[in-house]
Amino acid sequence: MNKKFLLDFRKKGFFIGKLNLIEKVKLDEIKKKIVNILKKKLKKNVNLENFHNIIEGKYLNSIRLEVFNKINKNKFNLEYYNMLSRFIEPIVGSENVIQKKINLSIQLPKDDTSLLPVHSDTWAGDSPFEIVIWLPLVDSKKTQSMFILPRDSRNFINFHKFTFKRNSEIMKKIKKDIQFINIKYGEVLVFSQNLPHGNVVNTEKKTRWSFNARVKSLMSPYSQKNLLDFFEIIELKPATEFGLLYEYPKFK
Amino acid sequence: MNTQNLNKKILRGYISSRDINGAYYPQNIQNLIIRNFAELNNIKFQLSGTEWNIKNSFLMLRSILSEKNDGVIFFSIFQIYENKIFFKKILKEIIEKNKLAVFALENITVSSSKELNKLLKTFKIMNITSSKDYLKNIKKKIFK
Repeated sequence: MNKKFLLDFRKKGFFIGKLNLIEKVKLDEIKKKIVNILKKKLKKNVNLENFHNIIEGKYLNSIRLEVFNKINKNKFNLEYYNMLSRFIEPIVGSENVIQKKINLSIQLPKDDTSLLPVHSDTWAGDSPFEIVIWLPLVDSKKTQSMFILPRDSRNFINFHKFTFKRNSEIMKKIKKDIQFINIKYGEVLVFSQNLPHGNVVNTEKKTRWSFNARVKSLMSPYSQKNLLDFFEIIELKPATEFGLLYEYPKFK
Repeated sequence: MNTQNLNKKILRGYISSRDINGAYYPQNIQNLIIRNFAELNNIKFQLSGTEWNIKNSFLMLRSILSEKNDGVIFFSIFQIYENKIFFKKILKEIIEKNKLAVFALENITVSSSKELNKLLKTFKIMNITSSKDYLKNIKKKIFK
């Protein structure tokens, strides 16, 4: 693990890591699987970056859901975790939970129907102890990508002191401090979802495809999203298992 | 505990008319979740039975389990977790009958003692980590 990742995360609340050869081969396989699902469905050759040339916006969500359901069969979440564990474990520990189904986002150029305005997942029932593992399937830059308000920015440091009445006020307030993530295929973005983040209309010429998943330490506090309904245990470590089974003797 | 191998299994739905884990879910919403789950997993779905609105009644569930099917699709695991002793007992009974207990909302299937034990451990962890005082105590110990 590159120490720079840890330093970046401590300072900015996020980092971008580069997949090694083995991780990249796995990612290539996943991408190929998605392309094959789309080829079979649309009966056309598919290039993810230029997907907007072969699909109308109104069909986008049904196609996204079909790919999402097919890719998430057979424990894709564990495959996703194992592929990227090198970037996760130094940040959250090694006894973790991951969301059951990995989200898939598709952002066509000029499409305003799939936007996620600025938010922090903790405001909607996620634990402040979670991180997001965001993995693009194509090179993504500027508005094609997503934005984050870095932890060391003045607006984040003071964020808890602000009062907002509308979502648009949040964006207005933090606009000068947000950072659009320029990331290449074969790289991964790891960030704390305590940081306000979101996306805007993609004004680039390419479609963005990306996965995202939430991971947290098994024994850290949960919020609304809990084990059973949202998270799955990756591996219960022997000491935790023993601790759960332990019963105190009776003393008189 | 996963939802693999549910292909073409004959499962009967099971919904509640009581509160579930402190919340009220209309029966049509419970059915919608179950039907959607069955469709996604290619399950041969049999119409849901509705449990009576009488505390600790599991009469309908017992009837479903005595019918000819491969098991039950519950709307949520908390339909039977309200009574922890019953929860363990009924799941053991389902496993002994070689049937499946499928929980649509949580996307969990139980078909063996190993899976049941894993589930019981998960509930223990939930009891520890979801307590309102858990975060407060951690902060107190770290920042005292």
